[in-house]
Amino acid sequence: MTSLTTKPWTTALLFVLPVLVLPGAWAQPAITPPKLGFVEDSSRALRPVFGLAGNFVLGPSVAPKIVSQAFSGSLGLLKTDSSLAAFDSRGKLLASIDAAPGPALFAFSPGGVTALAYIISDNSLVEWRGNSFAPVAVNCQESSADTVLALAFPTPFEASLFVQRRTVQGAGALWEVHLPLSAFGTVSQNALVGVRAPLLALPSGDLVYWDADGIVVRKPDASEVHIAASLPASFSLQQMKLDWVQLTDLNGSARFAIHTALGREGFYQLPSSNPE
Amino acid sequence: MIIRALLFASILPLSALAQLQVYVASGTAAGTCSLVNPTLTLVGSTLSVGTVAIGDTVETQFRVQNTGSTSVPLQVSLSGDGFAIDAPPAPNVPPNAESAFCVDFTPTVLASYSAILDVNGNNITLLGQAAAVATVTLSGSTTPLPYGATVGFGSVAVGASQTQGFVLSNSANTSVTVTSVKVSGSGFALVAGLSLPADIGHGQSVPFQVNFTPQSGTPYQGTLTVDSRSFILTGQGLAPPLPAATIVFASSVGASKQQNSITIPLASASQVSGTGTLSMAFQPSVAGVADDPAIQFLTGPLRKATVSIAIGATSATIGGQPNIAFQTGTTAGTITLTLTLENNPPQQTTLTIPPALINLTDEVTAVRIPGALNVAFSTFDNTHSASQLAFTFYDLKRKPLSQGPINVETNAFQLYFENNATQYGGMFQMLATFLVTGDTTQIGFVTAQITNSAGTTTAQQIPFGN
Repeated sequence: MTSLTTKPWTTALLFVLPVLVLPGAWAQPAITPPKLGFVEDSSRALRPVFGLAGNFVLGPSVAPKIVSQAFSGSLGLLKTDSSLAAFDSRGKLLASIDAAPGPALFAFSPGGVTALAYIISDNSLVEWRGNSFAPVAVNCQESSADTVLALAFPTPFEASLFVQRRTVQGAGALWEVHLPLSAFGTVSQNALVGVRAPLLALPSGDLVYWDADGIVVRKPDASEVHIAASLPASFSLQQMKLDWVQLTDLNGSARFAIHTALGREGFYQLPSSNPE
Repeated sequence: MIIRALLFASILPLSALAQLQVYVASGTAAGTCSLVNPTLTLVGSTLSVGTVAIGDTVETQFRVQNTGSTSVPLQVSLSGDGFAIDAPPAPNVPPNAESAFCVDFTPTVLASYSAILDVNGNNITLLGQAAAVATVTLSGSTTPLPYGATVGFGSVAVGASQTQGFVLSNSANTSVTVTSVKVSGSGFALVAGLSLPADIGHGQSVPFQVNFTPQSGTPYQGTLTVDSRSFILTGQGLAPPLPAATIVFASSVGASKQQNSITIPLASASQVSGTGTLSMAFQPSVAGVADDPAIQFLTGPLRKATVSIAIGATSATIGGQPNIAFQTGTTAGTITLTLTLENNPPQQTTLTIPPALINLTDEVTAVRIPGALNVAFSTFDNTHSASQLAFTFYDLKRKPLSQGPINVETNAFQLYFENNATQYGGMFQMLATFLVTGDTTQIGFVTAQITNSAGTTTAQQIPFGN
């Protein structure tokens, strides 16, 4: 017969039933500000976001001069012009390596503790293995006409690159290219019909892209959820938590947040206000 | 009035003046019979005040200096047509001081003029010459405009025009020629149709018009110049008022955790441009709470936006955009928006955020961990008063466990809000961990109850995941 102790061991309950608190439970308060993740603000600083859908507060900057960034919910990756770094949920630097200049694309494993970074300028792939970075020897572009637009890390043994293949007529179709991360396995690919860049692949398997009416979330079972939104003319997408995506207006200071959780989808504007 | 003074080369001593010396002053006019830093020239027995158009007046300022050590009485008189003392002198000239007076010369016919200026019994012959020029009168008037006269166009609405007619006429016996008529100054323009040079015979006249078209609600000044004679043109632009503006919320429902937006439609298309500000203030209804930082505009300064109205616009722009988004925060109270536009009294609109039950449906998770169960909520309490919790656990068949609900009376929320409300308002994330003896996989669901001052909320059964 299963039974519950009648006294949970959270700090919140400590004052009522202190004798049941386990050693170490003090270290983590039971009631905390709700943290949504990290965003890159209009001054290119990395800042934590606290809040709920429709109510956001930005915390102080934890890193300046960000070129690219993403956060899984427990692990973050950021790219400056000359380095690639990993940080934890408090914004604390875990490790950093030199990297070629320019932006990067990121993908987290479903568990959110390992990740891949694709450095666009030198077409290189780097893996975060939980405690350090390691280069991955794969050919990310079959030809120079391929443009890698997004990245996924569905299994520890495989990366998925979302590439646009140019043709003589201009921008071609989008393809998802599956690359083995070891000597074993084969390369495969499939066309992404109806998807257009910018796009973002989430660890859940959701693919986030856009259409004329707003944001589209394509689920792994190919079903789609449409989120009405008025989108900037030019934007990029970054993961800011497990089921939250930051949308960055590339021509302005506006920042938006997309909630992709099933049944709670929404499109919100993040504060970009400045103190008076 | 312009003061001019000419000094003839011949200067005679005025011995009769004893310790007084008479000077004529020239310089920039600073008002009636007043000069700024004048140049003084000793006056002889004759002084020409120059050539003046009929009907015009030229003013000459004299200064009598006392170089002695005692005060001297001063008596000044004038005889002769066309001349008149404008500003008389003081009756005495103190030692080492001076007294000033002015003489006007206003010829009325084409002739040479002379007059005797008597200063303490010593005579100075004043000479003047009338010039044959066209006189300038306002349409409908017979009185010539004196040199430097001001012609007022009155107050005219911005964008509208006021036309003033003028007449060039010749009262002399000989023909006169007007070679130049010019209008300068923003807002003023000479109406086409005047043919120059214009020969005007005795008794004849030539009309012309000047338009005043203000572009803003400000005073205007220009100049009408007829050959060498100038007249001042003045007018006042009248800006029409800005149309009535209204603060409109995209959603008029006051509630926490909302992103709302504001537009400012105008009652009619604006005939003028204008600027102003839209400011936001928040008055919490929660005792001891001063503010909620999440209540802010989502672009620009946190609680102040610039409002602009363009000519022809039917709505204002806010921060350069048709609307501005804002957050309603997670604290009960009243959000006040104040719109202040140029030359209009401020207007206010409020959005009341009422106390609300704590929502337990949006961000709720229940997971099994080895030996325990975690139940977490991310939500808000806009009353900052949560105090009671209750959890009921169910087996896989949704049947409550026999032990019944676990009730908790806690001040943890009070402590949290005291320390965090100024940064995060009423939002919070709560994690409750429950030790379990036995197989946690046999526990399928949990419901939670939470109570604040607005009431008690019960969550639906939440399934446990791993």
